[in-house]
Amino acid sequence: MDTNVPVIGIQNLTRRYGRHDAVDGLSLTVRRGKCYGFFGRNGAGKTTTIKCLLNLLRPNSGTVRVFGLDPQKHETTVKARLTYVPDQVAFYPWMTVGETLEYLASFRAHWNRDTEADLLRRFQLDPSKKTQGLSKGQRTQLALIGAICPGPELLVLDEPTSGLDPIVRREFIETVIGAYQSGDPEQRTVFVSTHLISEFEGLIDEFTIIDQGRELLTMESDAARNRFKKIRARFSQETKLGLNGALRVKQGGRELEVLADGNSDKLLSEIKAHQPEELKVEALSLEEIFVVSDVLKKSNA
Amino acid sequence: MNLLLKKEVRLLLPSAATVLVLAIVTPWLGRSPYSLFAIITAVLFFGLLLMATSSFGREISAGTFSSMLAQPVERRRIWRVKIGLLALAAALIFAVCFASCFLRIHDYWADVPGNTGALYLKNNFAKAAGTGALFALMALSGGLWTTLLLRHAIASFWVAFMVPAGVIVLELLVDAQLVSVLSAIVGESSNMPGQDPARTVIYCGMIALGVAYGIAGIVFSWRLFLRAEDAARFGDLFSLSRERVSDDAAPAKKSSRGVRAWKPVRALLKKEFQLHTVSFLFVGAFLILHVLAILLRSDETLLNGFPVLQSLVQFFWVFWLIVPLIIGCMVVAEERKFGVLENQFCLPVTRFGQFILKVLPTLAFGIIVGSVLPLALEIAASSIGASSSGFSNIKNELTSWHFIEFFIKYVGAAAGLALVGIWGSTLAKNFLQATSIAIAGAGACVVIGTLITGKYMFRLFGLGLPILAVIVAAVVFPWLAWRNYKFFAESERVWRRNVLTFAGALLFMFAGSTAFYHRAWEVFLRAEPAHGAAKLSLENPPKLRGNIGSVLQIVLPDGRVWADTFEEKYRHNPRVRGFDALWQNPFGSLPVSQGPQIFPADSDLAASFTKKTEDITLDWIREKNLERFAPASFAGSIYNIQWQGYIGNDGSLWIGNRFDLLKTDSAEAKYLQVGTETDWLGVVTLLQQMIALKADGSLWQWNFSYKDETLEKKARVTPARLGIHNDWVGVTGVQFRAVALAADGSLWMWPQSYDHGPLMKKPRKQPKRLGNIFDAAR
Amino acid sequence: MTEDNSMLLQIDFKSGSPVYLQLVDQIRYAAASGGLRAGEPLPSIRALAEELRVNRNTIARAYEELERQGITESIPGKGCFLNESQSPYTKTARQKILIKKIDEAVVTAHHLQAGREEFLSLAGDRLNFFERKLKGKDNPKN
Repeated sequence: MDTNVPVIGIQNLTRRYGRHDAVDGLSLTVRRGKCYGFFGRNGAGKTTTIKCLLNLLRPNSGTVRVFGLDPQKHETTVKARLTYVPDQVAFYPWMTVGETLEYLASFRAHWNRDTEADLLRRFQLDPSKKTQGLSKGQRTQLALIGAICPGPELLVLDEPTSGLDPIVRREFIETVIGAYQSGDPEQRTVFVSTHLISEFEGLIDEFTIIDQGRELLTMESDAARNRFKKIRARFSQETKLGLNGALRVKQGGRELEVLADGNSDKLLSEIKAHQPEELKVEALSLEEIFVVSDVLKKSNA
Repeated sequence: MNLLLKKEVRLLLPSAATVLVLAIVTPWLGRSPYSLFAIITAVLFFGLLLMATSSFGREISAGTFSSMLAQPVERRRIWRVKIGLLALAAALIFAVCFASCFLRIHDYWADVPGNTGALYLKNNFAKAAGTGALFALMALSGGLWTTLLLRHAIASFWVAFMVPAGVIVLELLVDAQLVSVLSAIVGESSNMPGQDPARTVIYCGMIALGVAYGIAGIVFSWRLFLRAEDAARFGDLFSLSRERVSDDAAPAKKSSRGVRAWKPVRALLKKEFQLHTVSFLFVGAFLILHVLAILLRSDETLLNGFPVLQSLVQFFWVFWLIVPLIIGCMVVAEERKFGVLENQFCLPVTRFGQFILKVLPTLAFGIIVGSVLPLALEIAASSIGASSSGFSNIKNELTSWHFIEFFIKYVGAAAGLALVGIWGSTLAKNFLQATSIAIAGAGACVVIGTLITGKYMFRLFGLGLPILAVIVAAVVFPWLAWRNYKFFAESERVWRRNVLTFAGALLFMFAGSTAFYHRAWEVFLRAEPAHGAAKLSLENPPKLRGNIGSVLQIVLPDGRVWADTFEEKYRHNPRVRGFDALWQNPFGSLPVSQGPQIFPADSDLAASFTKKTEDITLDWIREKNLERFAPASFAGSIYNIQWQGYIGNDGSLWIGNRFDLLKTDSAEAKYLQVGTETDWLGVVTLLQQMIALKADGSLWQWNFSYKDETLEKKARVTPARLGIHNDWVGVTGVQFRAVALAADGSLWMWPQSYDHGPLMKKPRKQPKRLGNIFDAAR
Repeated sequence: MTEDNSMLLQIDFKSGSPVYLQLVDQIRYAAASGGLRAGEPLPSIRALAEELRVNRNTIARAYEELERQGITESIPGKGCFLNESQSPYTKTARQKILIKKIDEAVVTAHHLQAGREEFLSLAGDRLNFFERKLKGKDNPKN
């Protein structure tokens, strides 16, 4: 297995829906063994991108490579090495939980029965229950079991936890970490698109924020948390500061909040020069980075 | 079993099963199989289209289409499995269907040589099978490519339905112009239709076009699937309703004060209207097709040699009945599919109100489109001379009771189909499911209702459909639809409710119709009213004579002649060759005014009647070598052209092969004695009955079922005593009924019994008293 | 006996420091403060990852770093154990942590406008209080 080949390689992907560009010139690379986050607002183009990875949609232009292969030309090979949990999980309504898993297993060369039993027990899913009668959380859990048991090299998750209760959401992430990443974590890659970032914060190594079909920011998580800082200061009197190069400045009376993009030291010294009463520096969590990403957008424009 | 295969079978099963049942049952539902092939072709087309549409359509509705594509399995493999299964199912249905047709024809015209109808069907069977196969191919391919292209069940259904029909019709129209051109090129056209070389070329072309469409459709769908994406390319075209429904759900913007006018009825009606947008489009296309069919009809010789197409074009107006069914099926199922049904129930409008506002417009729309519109078209067609064979002179008959009755039944059929569609729609989650349920439900009702109420022949526009079934259906379906709609969420109880209601309704129909059929009220009546004092006797019996017309004459022992005409609403006038002379009214046209009359013994009329008819009879008997049979055998009208009962000169009763009597030198005349008694005095032969008078004054009846085909079987049937009296002095047949004269001069009528089915109609306990001959005027 | 003695690890995504380093620091701190004793096993990578909802690779990286620094030792088949021999914290490291805590107190004092003398006198009082408490525990008669 060629470890240098990125698991996912997207170059300048463009996909149109009617007259509207769902994805417009997106590029990203996911290396083996990473947990890659794909963040964006509703309708930013996440699902479209993912569907292009699976040849459920074809790009209008640009290239998509999974395991170095073109999903259009080597469809079966690519799909044999990955599994997919979609946004809207759908099962055949007459099948029971057990039958659905058997059906999904019939397409796979490798299926871990122990993991299956384990997860069914953990989620308390009754194998003889019809899929029609499952709640939304249970359906997602079933889809996850179906995605993990074959032990694929790539796990693609599209908005997996939206609409689920907090307990189920936590269990989901724990399961991905526990059951999926067992085996050799170096060989297990996760690609998750979500807008519920705070929960995936610990899981994500690297991420891309997509906005209106375009890539806004790509970074490693640690680096991002290191780079984006929030500085809060309080002064003894109202002070006007000309903070150039700050990402965002909120000033109200004696309070000041500054978002720094990599230049926190310079801004800090500038602020310290005015002798603040109180000064706090905080890194932005990924969720906060995402929330202020429209500020990023404006600054990039 | 391979799980992919298993899943595919399960997906296809409901629609395939429905179509299979439909294919088996449809041939047996007609009165006569003349239009059988056209109806079968249409049913096959419709059914296979449904199957082909649901093959991919169900995946798309269930949302599993993209997850199916996301599995690591080659699309070719998925395609092979799906198409293979579809082809297998279609072949099975096709084979079963035509086997059923063949059995039907065989059953209907069992060993009747020379019957033109049977010969026609048997000769054209191969052609019909071929045409059916062609239509099946077109249906399958149409269903596949439209589903994969449009991703919208209803739209794909309509398009697949109409594209081949439209193409064929257009091609035929164009060919009508080409025929003359081609004839000049290819050669002189002979007078034999179907053997015209120009036409042959055209028809071959047509078949080739159909085959090409079928194959091209399948190849196109294959390519579509291989390159299928998780988004419909043209789906937006047909989601007009969807967009508009969601727009309409938002409250109208009113003045800044926020006062909104309370117009729920209008909003709901508008929503219903928009929900049917797709249907409007296709009704329009259907209209165009109908017009084209009418135009095709105007050239009568164009379709000779193609019985299926001919029937299709002639009976095109019947196909409009599909429309109310489809419209009905759409009604609730589409809202449920969109997921807006629950939201609707959260509006401050009663569920019942919403239901009514949904059902009534749909019903009205269905009725107008299903019956009024095609009839209007046909009336217009007849005024330009291209009328269908179903309505020969319709514009002359517009005000006749016959037409009005037909119109009412046609409207009733459209309404009924719309109701069944609505009911099916309340049970289903999407359009395809609704259609399957509606067809299954309607078909089952028709079959069971027909069987149970004892009528084997189901005549759509005749008197065959029992009023009871209609009333029960008209109550059960709307009520069930309403309850299903109201409690739409609880699924198990829904099914239980439907099944129980149907069982109850069937039980009710069974009990009611059995009671009605067997005239249960007669239990409370006397077996038969008593006869008066005897004025006639068997020592000097009167002579009764009925004829095929409606005149009954009785020659009394004292020489007087009693005569009357029997008016009936429906006139049946079969012409029996060779017997005209015998059954001609000896008086020419009888100067009879209304009501029975007695002509005195010495009148010319009486004398000439008595002598003339007797002479005619004896001459005729000699001529036909029937001397061993008594003249009394030939007294009653004979309504059966195949067999007849005879009284031997020794009083024995015989049954003979009637048809052979027409040939004077027949070596195959066959007569079998019935029973061993030799005291029979008279016999009347009706269509499936024989009534004979015994010397002891009792009447006996033989009821032949349709299974007693041969004379041997008939001769073995045991007779049943008819009535309780034994003072009968004469029996004859008039106007398809048997009439018996009792000793007190009263005339009693015993009706025909039709037996075409498992439940034999038993003779009535009470014969109908026609009157007393001695009460006649003059 | 104070809360810092337990092995409750927490990741602060707002600290700006890489996750694995935070883990390393916290484990070292736990070792130093008695939350983790010599010879005690560390939680398995999988269990810790699940509990913290952190990528396994990150945990693995943290454990590798700990082993590289000699703080832990992994025995195949049995898990990761705290190394007996070495003292986990050098004096400098310990002091660094302490300085950080003292800095926090100083800044707070400044904000609450407590002057130097007040601060030092309070600090002395608190130290005396804790010493007395500890002595009281040793001597039941007090």
